[in-house]
Amino acid sequence: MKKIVIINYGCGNILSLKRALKEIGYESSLSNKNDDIMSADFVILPGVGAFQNAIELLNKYKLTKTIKDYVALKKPLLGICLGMQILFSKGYEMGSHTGLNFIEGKVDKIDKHLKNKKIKIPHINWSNLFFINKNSKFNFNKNLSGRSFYFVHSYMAYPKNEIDLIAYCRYYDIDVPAIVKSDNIIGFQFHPEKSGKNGLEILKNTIEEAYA
Amino acid sequence: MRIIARLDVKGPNLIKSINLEGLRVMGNPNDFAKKYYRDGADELIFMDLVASLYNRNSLHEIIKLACEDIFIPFTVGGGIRSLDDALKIFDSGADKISLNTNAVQNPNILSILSKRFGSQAIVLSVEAKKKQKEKWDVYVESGREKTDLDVIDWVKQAQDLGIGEILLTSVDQEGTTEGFDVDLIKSVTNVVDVPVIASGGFGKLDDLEKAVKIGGADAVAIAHVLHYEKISLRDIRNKAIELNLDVRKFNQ
Repeated sequence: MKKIVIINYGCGNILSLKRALKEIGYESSLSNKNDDIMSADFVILPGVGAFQNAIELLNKYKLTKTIKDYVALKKPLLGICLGMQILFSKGYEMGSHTGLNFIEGKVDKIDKHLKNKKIKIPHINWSNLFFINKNSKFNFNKNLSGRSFYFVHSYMAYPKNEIDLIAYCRYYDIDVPAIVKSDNIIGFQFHPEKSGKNGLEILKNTIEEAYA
Repeated sequence: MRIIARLDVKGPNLIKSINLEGLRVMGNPNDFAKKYYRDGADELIFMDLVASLYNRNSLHEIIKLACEDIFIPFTVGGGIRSLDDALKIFDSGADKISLNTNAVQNPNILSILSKRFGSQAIVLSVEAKKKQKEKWDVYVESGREKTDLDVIDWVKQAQDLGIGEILLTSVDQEGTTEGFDVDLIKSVTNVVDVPVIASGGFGKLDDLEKAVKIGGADAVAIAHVLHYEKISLRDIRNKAIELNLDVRKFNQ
């Protein structure tokens, strides 16, 4: 049985995530303890709110080093929503902040003034995923291309390396990174635990693919 | 755009009102919530209609149960007046909270909550009653009490305080199934950048086009026609697709 740990640092709707994992047949535990995280087979980093707040909370629970040590073991880490955003090098939400730096790039505003069109922020909608075919390192989920997932965010990722972008969704005429991946690090901008059956399926696929 | 099922709750019961008055008991809110999840609702709103009257929100147990097998977002409102109240609701499994009465009494709470939980988690619930052409008063206590606030001034102020979304209920249209107050929706979407959920009055499929295409709504909250099974979520979604609206693809 795989040991799945959801990092509990006071940031995110972890109850729903735990329930979603249970629905697809995985028990999980909520923890902020070094030993639990280091011995896990699959770690999920949730998160809602502001970039800085999440980083401060990780520091408060002394989790930054733990997560880096865990990742160094080449075991899978899945960041969700803000948990995905803080995987990047830098965040520009309310000032400039240093992220976990697992994926090169930055997190910044969804460009509000693109082509002089009024863009609603936050992006709150079910949006369709489009997989980028040449990035073949994430095969399992491609059957989910074109399906809808629940997004809620005001900032978006700008990955530096094209190869790290696995799927995007379209908001107005902006391509918003929806899935990013670099080695054993995976990030979802949408909420799989709030995306109905599609969300449950992508969670299951992702955990299975990590051990395929 | 999103299709949201709105569940107004009093005590243990789902209720349905007209103009937010004259409550009629419909049944167990969790049964309705589950059905709407299965039928393809994009989100659920749970509103405790009498919470601010009794200074408490009694939805914790209902939300905890809903979390067990419903995997779409929930917004929860009613009686939230402090950071502590908000924490308890989020801990029960809510994704967003909505405030009306307590935000009017203490607007600063919106700023405190947005900073702590992020704008995307804070919904301003506005109960608007028409005063004259292009003018609406803000009502509180589930449409029971008038305030001196003007709806347009209030939504602008609330946006500046950091809210991430507006649930805009027309007290005049609520429960009537006679259509949305499209002027109201349009007047609000014209002055804010955050998404607006149109609520109150949905009675026929054509109301969708008016709310979204003319009013500029980003979502519609629907109660009456769903509770009484007059129109199905599937019909509403198909209509949205027909209108070429950016709506979730849902396969049962």
